Amino acid sequence: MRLAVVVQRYGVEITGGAELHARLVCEHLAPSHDITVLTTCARDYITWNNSYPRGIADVNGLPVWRFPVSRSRDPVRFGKLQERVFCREHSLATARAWLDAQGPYTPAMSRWIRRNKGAFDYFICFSYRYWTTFEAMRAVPNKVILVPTAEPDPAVEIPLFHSMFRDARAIVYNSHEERDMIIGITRNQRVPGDVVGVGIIEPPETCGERFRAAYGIEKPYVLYLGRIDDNKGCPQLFDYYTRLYASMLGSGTEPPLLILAGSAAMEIPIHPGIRYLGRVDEHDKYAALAGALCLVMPSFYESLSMVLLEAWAVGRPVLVNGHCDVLRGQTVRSRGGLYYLGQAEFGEALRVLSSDARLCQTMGQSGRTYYESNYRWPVIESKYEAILEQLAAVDANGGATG
Amino acid sequence: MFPDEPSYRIDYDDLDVVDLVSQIRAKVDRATQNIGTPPRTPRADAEQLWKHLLVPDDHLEELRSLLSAPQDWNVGPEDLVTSRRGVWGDLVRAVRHLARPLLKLVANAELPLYKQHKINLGIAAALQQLLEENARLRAALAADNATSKTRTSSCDGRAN
Repeated sequence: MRLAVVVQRYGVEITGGAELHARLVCEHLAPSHDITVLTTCARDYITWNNSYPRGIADVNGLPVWRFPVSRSRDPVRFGKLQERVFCREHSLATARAWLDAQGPYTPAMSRWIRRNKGAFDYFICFSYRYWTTFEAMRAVPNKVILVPTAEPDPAVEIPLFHSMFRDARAIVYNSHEERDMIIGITRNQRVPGDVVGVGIIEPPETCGERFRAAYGIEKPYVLYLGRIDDNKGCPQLFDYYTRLYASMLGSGTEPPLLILAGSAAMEIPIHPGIRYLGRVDEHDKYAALAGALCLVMPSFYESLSMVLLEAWAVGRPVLVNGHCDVLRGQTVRSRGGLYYLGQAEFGEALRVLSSDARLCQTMGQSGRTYYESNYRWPVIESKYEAILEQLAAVDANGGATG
Repeated sequence: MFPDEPSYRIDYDDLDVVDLVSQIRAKVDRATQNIGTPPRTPRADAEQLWKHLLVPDDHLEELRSLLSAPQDWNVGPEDLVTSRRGVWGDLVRAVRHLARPLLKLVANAELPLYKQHKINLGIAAALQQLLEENARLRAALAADNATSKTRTSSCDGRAN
């Protein structure tokens, strides 16, 4: 099939979020389909400043059309509009103004889609909340397969988006929790869809011991991987960990270290138990996971946590914030770790994992089985194929008009 | 953290994460109680809640009577022309009515007043709901207390 993939940013330099998700899906569907990526020239997701050259580029063998962003995001105006739209009753016009301010505002892409919609069978649009997806949906409603990547934040409740969830041809959800939330809010249960998620870059053969030697880490450690950011729950993690550290030292127990790897978007406390490694490459990432007691994920909002899958892929358990439905749901379904709802539970769960190697091994193994059954690429690809075939069958019978 | 506690019941062949987390939670709760926090029971929780929710009687009455007369506290565009000076007031009101378009040309105060009027009505409706909820809670508390007293006296009777 001829598929266009619409996403707000695209490039090998973008190593996380819906953008990486989109790129991995494109690259895995490419052998069986004719894929064209439609994206913006932006690399920075805060300002959407044009960084890549406009026009067509080749990214890992796929044609990528980049369209210029006409207006960079004005954070002050956007913040004011967001406050109105998230916290107060608002008109459709205000919501639309918020969406335009959020961007990436790319009318050239919208025009291109309208002109060329006949050249594609379906448009797979990533991230419901961005201008690019909204406009693609308006341009070709009968051809859009939506990958919402929605989190339980106020944006999903904005009425402006509800028709989008109801009018999409199909929806590819990241998790059961995301599906339940969207159906609950928008009543779109008649729209075909499946919980698919995304695979990960397959882990290489790794050795935790080599990682320990390379970074001079001798003690047991728990690992946090990803952007170190307020929005990821890191301040709470630091608070819980430093209190646990003091309490364990006080009771004569050696506390595990907290190792952080990823880009830092907030100040990291200077503490004898915390070590920040900066950004690490794929090999070191998996080696760090393989050598960890467990992966800790303190985020409150996730639509699917790829690092959880990465931990399970190398057979390590996870310790997640139980306030996040998706993380808790994934952990319970996989039996691949524990969750906590407060500092005391965090501390006790970590103590249990630190002191019971058999439990860690069993949970790591369960997580690995869960990953292999649900998130390896052949499984993901077959779910996408099933959705595409289902839509094609309906269209062949004259079920939709383009 | 709690070395004296018995270890967990874990079926390694059929792991139940929810059960293990419940055990962890129970252990944490027990440890919290041991260091002096009063034991949490549903009734104690409810009383704590009521303590915060229940408003003193005189305040309630005051609020109820205030809400019943919005003309005493609400504002609106009509306030721009209203006057309460008897016969003179009628004249003043008429003049203000005539001057209204001119005033509107210089500064349109009617729109913000109208918005404030609506906000005030919204707040009043919310307060009204709170009052009703409060009344319901009071009734529930009274009923609960009555049941509790009956139960206590019946227990006392058995003990004697």
